[in-house]
Amino acid sequence: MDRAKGSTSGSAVGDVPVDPLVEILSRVPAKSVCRFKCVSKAWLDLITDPHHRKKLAQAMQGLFCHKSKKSEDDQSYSFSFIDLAARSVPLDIDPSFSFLTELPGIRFLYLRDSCNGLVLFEHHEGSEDSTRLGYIVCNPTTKEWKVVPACGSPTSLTFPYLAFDPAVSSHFNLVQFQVEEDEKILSVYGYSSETGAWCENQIDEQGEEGQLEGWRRFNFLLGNPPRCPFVNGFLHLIVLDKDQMKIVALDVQGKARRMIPVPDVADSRRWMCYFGESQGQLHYMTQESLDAHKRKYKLSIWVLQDYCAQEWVLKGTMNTNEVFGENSDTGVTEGFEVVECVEVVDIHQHCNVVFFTHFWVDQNRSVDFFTHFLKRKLVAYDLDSKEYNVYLFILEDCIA
Amino acid sequence: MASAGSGDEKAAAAAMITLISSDNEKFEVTEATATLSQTIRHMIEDGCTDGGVPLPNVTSKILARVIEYCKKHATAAAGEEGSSSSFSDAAFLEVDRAFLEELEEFDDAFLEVDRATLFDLILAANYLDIKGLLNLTCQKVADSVKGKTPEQIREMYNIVNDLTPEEEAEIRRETQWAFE
Repeated sequence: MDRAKGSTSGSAVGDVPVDPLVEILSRVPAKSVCRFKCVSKAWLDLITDPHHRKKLAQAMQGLFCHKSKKSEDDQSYSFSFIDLAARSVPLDIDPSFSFLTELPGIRFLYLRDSCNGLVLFEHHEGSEDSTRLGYIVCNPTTKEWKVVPACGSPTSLTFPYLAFDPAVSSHFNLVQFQVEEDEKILSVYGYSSETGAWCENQIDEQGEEGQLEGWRRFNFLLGNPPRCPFVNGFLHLIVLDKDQMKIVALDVQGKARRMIPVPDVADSRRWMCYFGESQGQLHYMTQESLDAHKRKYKLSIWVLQDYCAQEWVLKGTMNTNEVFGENSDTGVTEGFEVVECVEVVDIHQHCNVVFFTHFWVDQNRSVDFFTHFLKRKLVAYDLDSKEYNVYLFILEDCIA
Repeated sequence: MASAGSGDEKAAAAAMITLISSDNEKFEVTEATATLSQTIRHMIEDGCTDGGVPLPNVTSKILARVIEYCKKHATAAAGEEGSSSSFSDAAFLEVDRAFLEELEEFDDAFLEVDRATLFDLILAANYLDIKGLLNLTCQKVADSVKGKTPEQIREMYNIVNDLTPEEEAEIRRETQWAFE
């Protein structure tokens, strides 16, 4: 073939020059990019080069688990990091975030959110109820961090969320909801790391029209602060309108833009147990008990296939008794009842794998101190192959 | 700074820029067409385009195609920025549907080239910093490689696998999920 002689910038990977190859691979899904590490040494170097990694779609590396305090006076704050790849050289991740906690002036940090590789902490004077000093956003891989000033009253009830997409911009946004005791939303502020400032309250009575009218008077799910997945440039908040769940899409300034219905599952036995993002699409999971004793559960995983048409498609289902066996020792024992034996933690960013914690009772131990012997383990379930993996046994609290 | 916005259309059309390919062929284009390239736009802003712009990395064959693309897209340049990335913008944007469809057909036809030409277009788009063209051509290649196995990629691009079997097995173990 008559090839032009111009195509020799950088060392060639095969007959493909480096710069355009990075451009091309940045448009390929993470799963394929990951697989292409096997093509040759040059491809491996190119894909794993930290300089290029910023541009390429990154595979989800692991989950952070939040360890509960051992006692009330225990001031240490710790996480464990669950590496999802079976690699021989462990990732350089510091699960105690000592690069943050050892900074001068840092008091107490509480994990609030994470989004595409960034982690959001709330910085407090003391306990979680104490004065809020501000936020810290960090990248656990590069150990870079940025302080975000507090916004609004330092003791108000607030819920901050991160919006970050490295493929679009190296800047991140925060959206902070201030919620009243009665679960009504009082204010919504947006922060941009580009301007370094919070914008005006985005709650605007006049601007709310049509389906968005009065959305802020819907209930914010206080008891179980929801995830707020960042998809298509919008944050998605679940709210409760009387007894109907609804999704509000907000832009990164915190302005409500549209309402999205949840999947049509009117059956009262089902309830939402997960709302998040995977493979660039919104996912919604419902949990339904299959028997009166709440020992068997069915999880249904829905995906918002067509964002504009707001069309939810059932992606898969999972029965706990099929996964763990008919007589799995979940649930009831000697009069004690576990209401939720399965709790969904997260869904893998790039493939159809659901992570959840599975509770069971250690039959060999006395049940007098029931809660002490209620064990948990983190399980990954692959919706396509219907296989599951147990990652670890957890005795403490676990949040991703 | 002078921009190729619709108001300046007439003024910009009057100013002509000469582009010189690596094989010394001269191409005369309007400023509006040329400024789709950020590289050339900066040169114009710095006032160093008198006597023509030499492009030693681009052959006449490829430059002709690049100019063909820029001419077609120059008129749409003002509206195109960011339209694909944001839903809200797209909804508010008043666009001429027929023109957009025509542009899409043009792009599809434009991509009907052999692989060597496609890569040369990517290199030229990269060098001249023409976002739309880079996106179009890279996406075409990205679509052709995604979902492929490493073996298929090696075959497509004549790449010799220089990883040892141990190294390859190690990578596969680390990224097992990607192979399922």
